[in-house]
Amino acid sequence: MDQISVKMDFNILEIECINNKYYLLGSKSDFDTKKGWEGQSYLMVSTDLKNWKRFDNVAPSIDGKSYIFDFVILQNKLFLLCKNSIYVSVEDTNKPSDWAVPEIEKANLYDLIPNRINFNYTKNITREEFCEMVVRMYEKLTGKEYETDINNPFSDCTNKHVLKAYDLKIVSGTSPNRFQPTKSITRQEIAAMLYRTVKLIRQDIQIHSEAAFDDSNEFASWSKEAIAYLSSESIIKGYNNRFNPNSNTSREQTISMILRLYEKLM
Amino acid sequence: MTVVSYANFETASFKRVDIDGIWNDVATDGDKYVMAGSWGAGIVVSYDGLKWTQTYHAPNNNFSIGSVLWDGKKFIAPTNASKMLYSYDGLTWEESPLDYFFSDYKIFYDGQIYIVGGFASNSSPALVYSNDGLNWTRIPYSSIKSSSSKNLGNTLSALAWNGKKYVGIGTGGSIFSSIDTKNWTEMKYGTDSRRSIIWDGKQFITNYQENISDLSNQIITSLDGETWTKFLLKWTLIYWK
Repeated sequence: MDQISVKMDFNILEIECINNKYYLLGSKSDFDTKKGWEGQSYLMVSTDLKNWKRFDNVAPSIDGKSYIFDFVILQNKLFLLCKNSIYVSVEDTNKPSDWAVPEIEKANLYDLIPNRINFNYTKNITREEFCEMVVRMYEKLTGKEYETDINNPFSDCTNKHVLKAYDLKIVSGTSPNRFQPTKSITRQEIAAMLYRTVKLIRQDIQIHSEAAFDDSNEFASWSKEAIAYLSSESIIKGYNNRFNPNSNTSREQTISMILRLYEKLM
Repeated sequence: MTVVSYANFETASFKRVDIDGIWNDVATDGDKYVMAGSWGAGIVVSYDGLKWTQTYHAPNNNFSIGSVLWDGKKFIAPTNASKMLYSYDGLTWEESPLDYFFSDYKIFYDGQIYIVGGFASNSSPALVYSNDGLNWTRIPYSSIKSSSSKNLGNTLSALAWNGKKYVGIGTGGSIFSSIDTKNWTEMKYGTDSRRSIIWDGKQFITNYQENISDLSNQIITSLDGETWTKFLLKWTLIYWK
């Protein structure tokens, strides 16, 4: 994915603030004597009134038919009201599991979840996405953006958050020149990465004895200390006394871990 | 209104639903959505937001329903045809004659008082309020008359309330404030239209334009509704491709 920046000027038609997010309806139009009115109307979203993200998933043109007059957010639907048509957000089939809803809401309040991860919550998180989350948490805890000018050793990844996490020694490549950014991440890998993050923030942590899970014989040697620490602090929990170290981790599970760790370290 | 925070509209997909009319507002009683529109659109009802059925037909297709509100017991929809519409289920509507023509702007309700702007039958600006949503009283014209004839009553587009103070804005750039909704004080002018104002829990926010061709994307904010600060938005939008 490439990040694109566009300078835009709009007439501001409507502002709303819902659940700590600002929504703004804007339009830009020009009158052409031959073509009539031309332009587009957009919905934008911001968490701070300063930085705005344009909805790219719906941007009706000003053609007298699909110009957005107004928008309304009700329950979990967003309506864009036009002439002779409306646009309705389709029910999110990837909404989180019930257990994850309060933790996702809380993580959103802390602004811990990058936009690109803040949906499809039951999908497995990738190595690249995890780096974005853990670096975001690290920067919030330290109160400043981490700067790195490290030479990128990876031929398959240019994500700046990955490079930050690599420079901080939170993650490493899967080989000297490959990162495999879209590969899913296992629970013990996440444990190791979170533990390294903890040690960056806190030098005085207590090293715990080995975690007492029934499948502890399946733990890799490099993950044992991390699992012991994080499970004893209830950052990562097992199921039926099994840790399942080689299972993948969903976005919502990762969000919960990041949230618990953030609240412990903040 | 229940808002589900995980509803991530930035990444949601949108379905276009073609339905005749110019659509102005949507409300819900938690069970169904009720949408109102202009010039023949009337009122339509949907249970999923996608399939709509007309439940109120504007006679002669010639009037506008500017907004619709669910107050917890009933839907209220002001029109520009000397009548207020009411419904307790969104399906059956009652017309209540009223000597006002309400503009295409939204009815305001803060849990205690209802306010909507429009015109009286003699075309003078009218701002009316109600304590029950059924019986309406006109606020004296002198209370809303602006020194520069930019009257709140005929230009009211939106109100915000911070728990102590009401701030109203409208076309012409007017900004008025009131602590009781009956007596209004003109606060500040812009030079062009405003149609949206919010209280976000910390501050009032509304848009600002120097003139009609001003696309500099400015808002003004106020902590108290009296002192306003111009705020230039950085419209460097970042999105993923």
